[in-house]
Amino acid sequence: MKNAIFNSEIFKITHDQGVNILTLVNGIVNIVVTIGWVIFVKSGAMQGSASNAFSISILVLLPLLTIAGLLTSAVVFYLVPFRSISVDYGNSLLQLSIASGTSRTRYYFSKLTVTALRMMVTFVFLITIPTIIILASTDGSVEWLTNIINSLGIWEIVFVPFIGYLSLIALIYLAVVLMKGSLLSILVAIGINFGASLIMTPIQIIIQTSIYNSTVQTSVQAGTLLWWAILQQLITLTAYTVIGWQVFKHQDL
Amino acid sequence: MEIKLSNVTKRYHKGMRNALDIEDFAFESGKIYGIVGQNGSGKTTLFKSLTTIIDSFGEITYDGVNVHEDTTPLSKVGIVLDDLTLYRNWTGRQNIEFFMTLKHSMDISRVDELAEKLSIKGDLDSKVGSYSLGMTKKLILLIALIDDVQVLILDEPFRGVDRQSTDALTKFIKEEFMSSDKIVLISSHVANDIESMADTFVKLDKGKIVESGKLTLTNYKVKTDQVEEFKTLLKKKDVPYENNEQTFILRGIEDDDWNKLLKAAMTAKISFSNINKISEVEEVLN
Repeated sequence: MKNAIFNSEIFKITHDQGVNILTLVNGIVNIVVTIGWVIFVKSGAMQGSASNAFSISILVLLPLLTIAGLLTSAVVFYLVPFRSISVDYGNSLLQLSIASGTSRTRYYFSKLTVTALRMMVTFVFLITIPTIIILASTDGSVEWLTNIINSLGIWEIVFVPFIGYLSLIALIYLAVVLMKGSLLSILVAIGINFGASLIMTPIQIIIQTSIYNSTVQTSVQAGTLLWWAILQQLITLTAYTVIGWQVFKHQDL
Repeated sequence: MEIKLSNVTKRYHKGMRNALDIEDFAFESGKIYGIVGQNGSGKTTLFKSLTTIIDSFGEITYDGVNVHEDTTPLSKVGIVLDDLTLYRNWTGRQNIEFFMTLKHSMDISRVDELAEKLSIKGDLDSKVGSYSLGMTKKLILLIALIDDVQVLILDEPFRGVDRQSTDALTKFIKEEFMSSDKIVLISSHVANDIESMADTFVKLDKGKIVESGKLTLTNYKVKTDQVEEFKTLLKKKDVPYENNEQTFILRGIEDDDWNKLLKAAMTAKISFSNINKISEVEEVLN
């Protein structure tokens, strides 16, 4: 049955034209923005060596395109999971699935996993071509990338945002379950997030105050903060997932 | 297959009465049950409880398996709920394929056979958004029947559906399920729809099963000015009756006996100003 839920979800994803078109548009905007920035950097506009008309036009267009890219990315990464999870409530397919003997627990976790996988695939799809363009423009040199990694750390770049995004998907799922797929789920998700930060922020302040007042080395302080950030995301991820699951298990559909 | 309910209750809000409150009842295989009752009597709540769409208390077992603990028996249940909709942007065939994936069904020939019988084969490649209500209900019924279901639950399957489609659906369900070892539960606000399909009725009132039994379909209400003559004839023919002034209600008469009674009344020169076949379901509802 688990595979059946997976397969049916993948069937849905491949037939969800609206979302697929939106993702494609986001991909194209990102590519255009990347190419724009590469041209901008290579043209010497920053050093003032490019022609005035070119510099002005690119200086006007590029920020606009970048904002458009960021906005469509926000829509894709926030609203697509929302739509993907809430759509079954809207058209009663959830009722039919449960009435056909699908276990609620299996359904919940399969849906959560498929949504997370879908967004990971979307992320890879959106980032691949821009990365290739940047690498090509730097003649394959990855020095700039290693510099960023060295200055920030691989955990900060990859793991913390990854867990954070999983936590966001679990939060969206929880809000959708609480509101039974209503559009208000978005506001509820924002509200829950705000509530969670009210609890987490004081704890973070206490930790920061205690470690910066101590005599430990800076690297240890940074490490503690990093682990706190990871722990914080893991706590919220677990809490949202378990609460959502328990509500869903006993919910009238 | 047998579905047993023991102490099944459902209350939607604290302080309100139970929407469902069934102490002990069993639905047996080989029967088509007409579930009757006024609005709010608990028909839909019963159906949703049987399929775990809503979370009820108590024990609901399918052949001894409690579906609150193990939902496996529900894979043999097909359901058509009044408020169900499908993916409107998908074609009928895509909706079917989706459910076939979910149910692990592979028998595409069954889909064609069902679509042919339900007269929607030619529309399967159109988007569901363009379907009429009757076509949508036929498609949901087709989806419910993709697998060889043992239990079919139909909640108001004919609401909003035109007469022609209703007749087609009724004919189809009777062909598929009458004289089978399956269980069909059907609710409808139209008494005739229940009578034309069901052989057993279950009456719900305020969530409780207050009456159940076989549907005989042979009750008559007649009106005559010759009250005493007709009473004598009925006694002579040994036909039980209820009488109120000029009106007589005759229950449980076989068609042959009814025809003989009419003939005898003509011979005795008894005339009737009104003869009505009474809907037993309407009687039960009232």
